[in-house]
Amino acid sequence: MAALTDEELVARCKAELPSDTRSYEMLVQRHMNRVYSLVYRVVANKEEAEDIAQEVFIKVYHGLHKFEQQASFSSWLYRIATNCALDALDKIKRRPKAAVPMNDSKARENEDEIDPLHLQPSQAAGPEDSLILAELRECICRVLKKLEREQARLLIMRDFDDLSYDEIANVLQVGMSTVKMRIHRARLAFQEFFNQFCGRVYLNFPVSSSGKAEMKKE
Amino acid sequence: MNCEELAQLLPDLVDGTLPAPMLAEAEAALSECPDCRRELEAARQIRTFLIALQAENANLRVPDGFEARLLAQVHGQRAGLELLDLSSKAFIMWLIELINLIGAFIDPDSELRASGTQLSGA
Repeated sequence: MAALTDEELVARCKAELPSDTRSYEMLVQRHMNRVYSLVYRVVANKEEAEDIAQEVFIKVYHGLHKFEQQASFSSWLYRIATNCALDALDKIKRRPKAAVPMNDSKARENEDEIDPLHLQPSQAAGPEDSLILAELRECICRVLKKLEREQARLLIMRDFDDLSYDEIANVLQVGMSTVKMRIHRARLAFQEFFNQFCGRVYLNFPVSSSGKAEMKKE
Repeated sequence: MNCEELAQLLPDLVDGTLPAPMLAEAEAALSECPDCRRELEAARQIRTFLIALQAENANLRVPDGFEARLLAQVHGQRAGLELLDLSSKAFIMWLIELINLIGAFIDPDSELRASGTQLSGA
C-alpha cells in the first residue's frame, strides 16, 4: 500500500483527533528530523532545539483543525518552525561566552587584511577550534536577532536549510522574483551585521589550506 | 543590460541558476558596474559561508525518545483539558448551589414564596 501523503494524513487527523493520534504520529515521524535540524541551526543548542521542536509539534497538534491546506502541510509546518525558532532566539538570553584564547598573534597582526567571511572551518577541528566554532554560531545567532524578522526567516530557509526559491515562494505565498530580491537584500544585511559583530571571533578560527589562500582581501 | 537590470539578476548569479545565454550577458554587464560586483561578491560570500557552516548538521537526528516525550506532552495536555472541563462543570454546579444558599440566607421567605407561587399556580 502506498504511503499516505501529508495532506491525506492531515485530513485523517482532522477526523480522528483528539481520540486517535496515529495519523498525527505519522506526520511527526515524517517531519521531526527536519524540524529539529532547522531549529538547531538557528539556536545552536541541542537542548533548546529539542524544546522548540516539541513546541512546534504541539502547535501543529492544536492548529491542525484550523489548517485549510491552501499551502502544503510542509510549508505550513516550516513556517511554524521558523517562527518558533526566531521567537526563541529573541527570548534566549546570551549564553555564557566560550573561553576562546586570543593568542593567535599572527592573525591579530593581520587583522586589517583578513576578511572573516573567507575563512573556512578546518576539517580536523580540535577542542579549542570547537569552542571557537561554538562562539561563531553564537555570533550568528546575534546577527539573526539583529536582522528584521522577515530577512532572518528568508536566510534560514535559503542559506541555512537550502530550500529552493520555489519552495520559499510557496511558504511565503509571494512571487518568485520578490523572494529572490528579498533574499539578496537579506544576505547583504547579514554581511553588514556579521562584519560588525563576528569578524574578531572568526579571526581565531583555524582555516583549511584553501581558506588560507583566500584570507587576503582581493 | 544596464545596472538596474543586472541588479535584478544578482540572486540568480549568486545561486548559479541563470541560463547560459543570460549568464554571458550578465557577466559582460558586471564589468561595467562596480557596485553590482561588490554586491555579488558579498552575497556569494554569505551563501557559501552559511551553507558550509550548516553542512555538518545535514544529517542531524532528533535525540532518542523525542517522539515519546512529545506524545506524553500531547496526551498530558489532553488529559489536563478533560480534567479541567470536568472540574469546571463541577465548579459551576457548586456555584449555583452556593448562590441558592446565600439567597435563602438573605431572604428565607423567597424560597417559600417561590414554592408558594408554584403551588398556587398549580
